[in-house]
Amino acid sequence: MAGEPLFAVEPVDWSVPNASGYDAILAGSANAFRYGGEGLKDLASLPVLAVGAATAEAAGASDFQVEEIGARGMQALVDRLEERFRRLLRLTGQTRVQLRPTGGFEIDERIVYGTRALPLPERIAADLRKGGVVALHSGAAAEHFCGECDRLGLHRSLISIIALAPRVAERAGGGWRAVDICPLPTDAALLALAEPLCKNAR
Amino acid sequence: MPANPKLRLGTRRSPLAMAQAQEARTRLCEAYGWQENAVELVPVLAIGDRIADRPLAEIGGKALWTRELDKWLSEGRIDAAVHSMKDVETLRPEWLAIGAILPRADKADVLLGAASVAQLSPGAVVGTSAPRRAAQLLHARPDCKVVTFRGNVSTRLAKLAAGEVQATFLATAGLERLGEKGVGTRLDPAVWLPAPAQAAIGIECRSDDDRTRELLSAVDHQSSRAEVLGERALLEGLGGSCHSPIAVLSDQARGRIALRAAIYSADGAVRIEEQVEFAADDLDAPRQLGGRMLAEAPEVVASLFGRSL
Repeated sequence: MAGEPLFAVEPVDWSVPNASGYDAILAGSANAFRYGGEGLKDLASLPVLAVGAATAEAAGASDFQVEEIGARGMQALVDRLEERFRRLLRLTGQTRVQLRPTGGFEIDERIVYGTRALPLPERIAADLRKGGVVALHSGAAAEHFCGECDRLGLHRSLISIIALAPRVAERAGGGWRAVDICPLPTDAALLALAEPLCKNAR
Repeated sequence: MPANPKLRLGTRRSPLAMAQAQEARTRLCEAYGWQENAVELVPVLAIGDRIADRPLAEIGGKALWTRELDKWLSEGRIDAAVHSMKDVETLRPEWLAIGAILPRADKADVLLGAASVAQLSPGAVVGTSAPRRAAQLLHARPDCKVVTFRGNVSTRLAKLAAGEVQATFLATAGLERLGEKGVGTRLDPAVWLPAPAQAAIGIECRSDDDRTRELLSAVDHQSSRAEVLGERALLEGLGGSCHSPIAVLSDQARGRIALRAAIYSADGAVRIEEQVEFAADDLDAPRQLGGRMLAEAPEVVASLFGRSL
């Protein structure tokens, strides 16, 4: 099994707001803490509401106090916010899920990192020409991978896809040898699906 | 997965079906305070998923979506099956019961490729494989040409982008369940009536499986169930199948359902609309309405009905 980054994450310039204007930081990715840079220090007094365990861990490593760890995505986190977190500062990447705050909650956004799509290296393409199993974690990764398959002339019918979620599979489209969708959006579920496929892939 | 999940939910494997099954699981887990892995999703490849190049009506109808899941239910390999209620045959075997209907989502269709039906260019080629949408379109715009169009959302969007058709229709609920919000033009359901049971997710189980029925009852949404059963009763009265252009909209107030239904000839030239109001548990009223509409319909419409798949 080989992992190949399809995107490079990079810091971007951002204006750090006054922490006193907010009750908490809303974080949807560990990248916010890995790439947020010096500006994060000015916000260290704010508690963090993290989308999941990896984000919470990155926040903790940057000396933030984590108040909440979600399990079902950003919208689910926003849907059950406590009253004391009415004014939120969302630290996010350029590509992000639109959130719908309800009941008078306010969300301000700062883009603190960006992602750049990377070409699929020829050595991976050479492998995939013989067939293989590709796990895709996001809709953006699915779309980019499809584009790379077209660019490199890879035959979809030889490649099996494992998608982390239904919407990822949807973005990957059709024509693949097989498409499997993780029953739960976790790496463990993804690997459980990959194992039998990898054994039969070639 | 735990060795003994509390419930095994069968589902088709398509992205939309999986999204629906995940919603069903989330609601069950929330209702009972379970961890998500307490409900096991069991994906089953339906025959309909393997044949994507012909209209559903041509290859054997709605049963294509349910047959495999029915088999797994009868063999006890799953406890319940998640369905898009729109795809479930009107008449189901007695050994199956609809254990729950989840809260219905937005019933509207979405038009992709044009700002409105009126703004389609003259003679526009529009892709759909649903007899209802084809007839509705041709009724409003007889100059348009309808071509068969199946496949999942991304396949259809790709065909649209490639210029194979000028426009196509999708269901708002399906798009939203796949995280595609704000795509295309939402068609007001009061003007462009949706399909029977559109946007409703149902969970079926074995009628004699009291434990599963009891478990499912916690996620059953009464008013959604009333609407869906009413619309299915109308279908029963019409003897409609997937060949039949039927559109219907239910509105509810104070325990009563106001149901508007329209049936069409295949070319959309003939349209018959009726409405009925009934108490939510009175399924005879919509069933009788169906029979009445059919009795009054000219042959060009009636010939598309009266045969249940």
